[in-house]
Amino acid sequence: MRYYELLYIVNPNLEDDRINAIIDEIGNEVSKFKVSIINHNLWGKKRLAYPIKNNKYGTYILLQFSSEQFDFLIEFERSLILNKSVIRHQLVRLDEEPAKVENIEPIIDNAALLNDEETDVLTDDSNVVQDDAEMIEVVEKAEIVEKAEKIEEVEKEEDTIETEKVDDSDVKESKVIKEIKEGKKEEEK
Amino acid sequence: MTFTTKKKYCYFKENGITFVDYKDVKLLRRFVTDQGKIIPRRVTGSSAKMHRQLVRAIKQSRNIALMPFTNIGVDG
Repeated sequence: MRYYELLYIVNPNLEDDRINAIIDEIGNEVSKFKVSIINHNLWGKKRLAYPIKNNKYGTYILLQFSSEQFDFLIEFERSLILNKSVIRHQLVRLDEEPAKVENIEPIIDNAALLNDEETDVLTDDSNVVQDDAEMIEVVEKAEIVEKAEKIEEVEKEEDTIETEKVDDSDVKESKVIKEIKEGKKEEEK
Repeated sequence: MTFTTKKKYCYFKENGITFVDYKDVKLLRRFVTDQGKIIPRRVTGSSAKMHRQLVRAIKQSRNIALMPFTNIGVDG
């Protein structure tokens, strides 16, 4: 059993009825080949990262299915290429079984839209924001440097203390050894 | 003057991510420059195993226009 995932983009200028028709059409096309469909969800209209065939926007649809065979994929992809309302598609094999998603995920779409708005706002007030950011960065750097220096000093002090301790212990050990030796000598006498 | 190097760590190991999904654009944007180039492993500090997955995911999401090939010369 293999799991596949097809993400395809449909022309955004089509009406909702037409898009539903295309979803049905492609669903039927896959189910011809003894395939069990797991998910077939409409993501909605999204802005494309770059224009495809002069379209700035696209309607994303996700299809996940599982099948025992895999010879039909070439034929299926060919039908997608020939379908004029499908602008672009990508078929990927999944390692694990995908979870069933019954509700459409509007979160992804909203996030993308929000991101676009944020970037727009930033470009408007870019000068002010950048100045502030630079100031903060400079201050932070200065603080970091100070901290680092302090830490180094502390470390040095610790090192010196440690070395002193080591010296002390060495001396003590040697004293103990001497005492033992002397004790032995006395015993011999 | 002292130079303290910030310790790099694998983002995926820290967050327990074992599979990079090409549809997760929010995650992938972390590993791409403003121009849309993939940031090298020596900079991000991600492990070799996850970086291979990451590169593949970014390229897949570029194909399906979720992420840009380049941001230079593209009208907003």
